[in-house]
Amino acid sequence: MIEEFAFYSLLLWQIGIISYILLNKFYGRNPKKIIKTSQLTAVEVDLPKKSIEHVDINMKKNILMEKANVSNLKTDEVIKGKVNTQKNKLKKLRGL
Amino acid sequence: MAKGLDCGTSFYITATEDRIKKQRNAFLTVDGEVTQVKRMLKRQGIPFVEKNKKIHIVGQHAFNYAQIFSTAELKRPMKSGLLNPQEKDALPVLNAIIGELLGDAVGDETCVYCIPSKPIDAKRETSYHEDVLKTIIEQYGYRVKVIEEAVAIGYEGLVDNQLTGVAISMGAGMCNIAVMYQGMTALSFSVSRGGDWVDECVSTDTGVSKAKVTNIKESSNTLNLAKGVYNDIYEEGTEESNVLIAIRSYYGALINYLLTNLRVQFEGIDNVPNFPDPVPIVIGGGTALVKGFLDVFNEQFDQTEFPIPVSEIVLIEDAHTAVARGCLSEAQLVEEDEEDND
Repeated sequence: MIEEFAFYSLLLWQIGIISYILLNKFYGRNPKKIIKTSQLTAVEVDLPKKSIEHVDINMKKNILMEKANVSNLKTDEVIKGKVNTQKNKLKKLRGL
Repeated sequence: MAKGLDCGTSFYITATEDRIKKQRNAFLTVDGEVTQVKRMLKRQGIPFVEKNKKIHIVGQHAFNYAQIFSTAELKRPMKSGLLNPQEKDALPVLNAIIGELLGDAVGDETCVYCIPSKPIDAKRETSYHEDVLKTIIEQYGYRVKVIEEAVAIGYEGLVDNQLTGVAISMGAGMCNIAVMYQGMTALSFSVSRGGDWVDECVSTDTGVSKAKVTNIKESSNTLNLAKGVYNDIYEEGTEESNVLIAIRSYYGALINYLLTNLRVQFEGIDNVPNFPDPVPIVIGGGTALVKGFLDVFNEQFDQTEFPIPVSEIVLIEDAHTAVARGCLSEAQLVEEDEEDND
């Protein structure tokens, strides 16, 4: 019984030592290179307080127009007489 | 002499202190050999514009021709309140109309003209339209200033309420709205529906040509939108009665569209002025001229849904020329201001 135990124990030790030697032989000289990768992470920043807005521009006004040849054009309807407007009230409201 | 110019889709109207001039904003291109056509039109005293070997009859004559000859296509230099992009010959015609209405400036004369507010239901800007009109008016020697169409209505209709209230211009091509507070515009926009939209819908539904519908709308003695005045659809089977009933129906739809959009726009803006007291709604423009218009407006108006307390709904006296007169007031004040500065 003791002899069998000693035999199996020795066998297991031998297997372990041989495995160590073999593994060391193949991988020990080319150890795995561990590349440290740095994961890019976003950094929270405060948004600018003023929202980004577009800037509007004026159109370049450069319209050329020729007059047409007009013959005998008369206004369809003419109403003669004093034209009532609210000019005076408007003037007062504006404090002019 | 100061001049106000209403640049409408259907009519161009000028106002000076002693007269008002109206010109229908339409034309008709006449086919045929140019020299022969010109000779014929001159003999009949019909006004025309010649450009690039094309002859265009302008104004009321063109409108009348379109009534008589159903195949003749009435052209419009403007559409939906702005220059008509489909109409290549629009600019020379507009130039001729403006030239006839304003004439050449004598000395330092000011002309105030109007433009629509930016439409909320069409992808159009108003800059090009504004620049073209300015260029044409300046050609005749005027100093030019522009104001929004609905603001011009406000200058005529809101002066007794400290320029506070809602001003609406019901035009042919569009409806313009300005919410004013103490003379400042808190909100202004336009919708691309107006009298023309009513005419188109009526024409589609009744099978009557659009030109004829317009004519019935403008000249019919029996057209009255007031409830109970129009005839029963089953009693009268005539073409005209069908048109009149359809016109009433679409007027209701137009006003409903306008008021709904006004409410939605009002809800969407920040810094809405607070109106502690009820304010008036004043209405001008040619589309509001039809009899019974206010009845239909009141039918569609619902104070519980409207964002502002309203004191009254008023149709401005002589609604057709209200925009031109508002522009004239502004032009006169500009001239007086400059005289004072000198």
